[in-house]
Amino acid sequence: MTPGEPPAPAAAPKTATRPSIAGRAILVLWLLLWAQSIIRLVRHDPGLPSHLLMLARADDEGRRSIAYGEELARFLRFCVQRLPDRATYGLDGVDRDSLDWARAVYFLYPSRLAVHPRFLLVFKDRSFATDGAVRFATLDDDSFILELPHRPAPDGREAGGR
Amino acid sequence: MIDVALTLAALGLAAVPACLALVAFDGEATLGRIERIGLGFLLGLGGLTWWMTVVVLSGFRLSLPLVLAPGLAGTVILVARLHPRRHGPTGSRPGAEGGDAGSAVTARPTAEQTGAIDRLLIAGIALTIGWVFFQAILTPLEAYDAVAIWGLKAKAIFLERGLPIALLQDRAYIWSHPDYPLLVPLAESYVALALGRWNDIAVKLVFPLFLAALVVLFHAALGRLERNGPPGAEPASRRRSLLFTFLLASIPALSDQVPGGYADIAVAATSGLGTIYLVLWLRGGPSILLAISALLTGLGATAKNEGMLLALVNLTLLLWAARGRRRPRFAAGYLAAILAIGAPWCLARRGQDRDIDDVVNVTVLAAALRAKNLARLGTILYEFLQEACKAKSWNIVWPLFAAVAALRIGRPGPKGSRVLVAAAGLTLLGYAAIYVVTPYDVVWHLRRSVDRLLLPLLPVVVFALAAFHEEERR
Repeated sequence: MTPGEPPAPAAAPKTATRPSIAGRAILVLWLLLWAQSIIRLVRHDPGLPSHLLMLARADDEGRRSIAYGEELARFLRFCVQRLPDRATYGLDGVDRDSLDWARAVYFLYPSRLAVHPRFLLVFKDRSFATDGAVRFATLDDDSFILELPHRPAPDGREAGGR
Repeated sequence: MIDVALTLAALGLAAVPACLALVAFDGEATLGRIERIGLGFLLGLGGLTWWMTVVVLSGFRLSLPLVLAPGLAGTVILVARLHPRRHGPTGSRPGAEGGDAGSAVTARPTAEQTGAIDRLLIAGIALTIGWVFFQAILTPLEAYDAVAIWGLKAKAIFLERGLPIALLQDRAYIWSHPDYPLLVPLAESYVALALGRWNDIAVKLVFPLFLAALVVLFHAALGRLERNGPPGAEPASRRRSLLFTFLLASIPALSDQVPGGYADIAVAATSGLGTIYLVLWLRGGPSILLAISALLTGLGATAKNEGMLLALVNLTLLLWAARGRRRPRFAAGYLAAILAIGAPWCLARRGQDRDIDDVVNVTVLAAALRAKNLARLGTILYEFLQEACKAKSWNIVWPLFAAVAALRIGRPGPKGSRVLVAAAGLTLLGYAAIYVVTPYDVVWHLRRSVDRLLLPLLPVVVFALAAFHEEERR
């Protein structure tokens, strides 16, 4: 036992003291703000209890659908089912800096983003068109998977990854 | 539900060797039972992820038996070592009479009856932690960093059964910060290994468990603060410890951020508690507290890059505040522990072109020096103050801490709140330095990250309030 300071010698205990007025005022303010944060949670989102109940009743896939949004979750499940194992892909229809982009890239792994992908995943983009691409799989009119013309990636890695 | 139970069992299994080691090496029975369990979880999971780092960097394929082998071997050795003591002539371990003297929760020298207020405080703490658990198991990984940085790497490590080098070196994935340390992804991939499949709901249980460990150990440390206090201190008050623990647990930022799967709670539970244990040792605590501080601080450095800054801060505090001829030896031991824990990943990322942090790198630092970025300090201070004053996230903890800092800085006194104020102050200065050099728009960068940077400081800041209160009572 070699601390930075010598240990405190035994001291006669004082009697317990009540908190000062300032201490009590701080505590009351803290508790009020804490209570307000709980009340705000419910008032800000009146649908919260039913939302939580819905989540609690759902299975894992249902929870993903609620968390990601039904359409994106359905599209991602469709892509996972239809893409070949460890395919390379590009993603259209999802903003590059958005939370949905991050969720999609995470969800689709081990298929991977690539600069020169074998597949293009098109989500909610009816006007999308590209030369030489063929529809590989279709979820609905504006969400589908395109297979792109085969070409080697500049880094020498074969597009498609299989 | 089965996956949740299996996850809890797997994480409990990871804690067993560390709990036994704490019993074996705590010769003076300094630590209480609940404190050992909390520390066992943090050190056990941290040790497991350290071993997993070594395994994946060595090129071995991850498997559950390989991951658990050192822990199981350690358990056998520790049980063999503890067995004779437990069945010795007296039928108990030496020093076991006061075995829970260190626990802030169990046997206290002045055992007080649990009153209505105490029960309310305990209920408040339990409800807060329970709410975080409930939120965590209701949704999959979905927050940005949780999927883009931690979840993606964890899933890749699990599916590849090793380090996903192709992913980490792919410039298309640079936004997933391939240089970040691996404690959190490895902890999540350990859960997946135990389950035998990737379950993005079960892996989230790691985060509320970090919070539970933080709260339990914070409470135990509060009891120790008062026992190791300066002359004249009154006996430990269960209610005061519970009150400050409740204050920490009730800060909305914790229940908002922890269920999302961010790594900041891991930094708070390791580096933050590392600072607190260091301060307890500086106030006269036994040497085991310094060892625990070093281990927790080292693990913090493997949780996030900010943990490395906090390790530097703790080391600085140790050199500044410790006295005596053995100070260099303690500092050297402390540094050695941090380096031993952090070295595998630091060496690997330097050697394998993964040292591509988008803020702290040579190019950015050189540009920052040329660009007179110090003019940003006003903006940085403004944004920090604006965040700190958000009562809906932080209640009034930051204004209270500012008041304590103003009352303590430059004044002589015991090594409690002063050292904690210095720790938080140095950390905030370090954060400010990062924003000074950032290549991004500083306001954009601050608004995206400052709330998460402040979270790991919460245990230190609330502990400073408790230390200040205890010092003022004398």
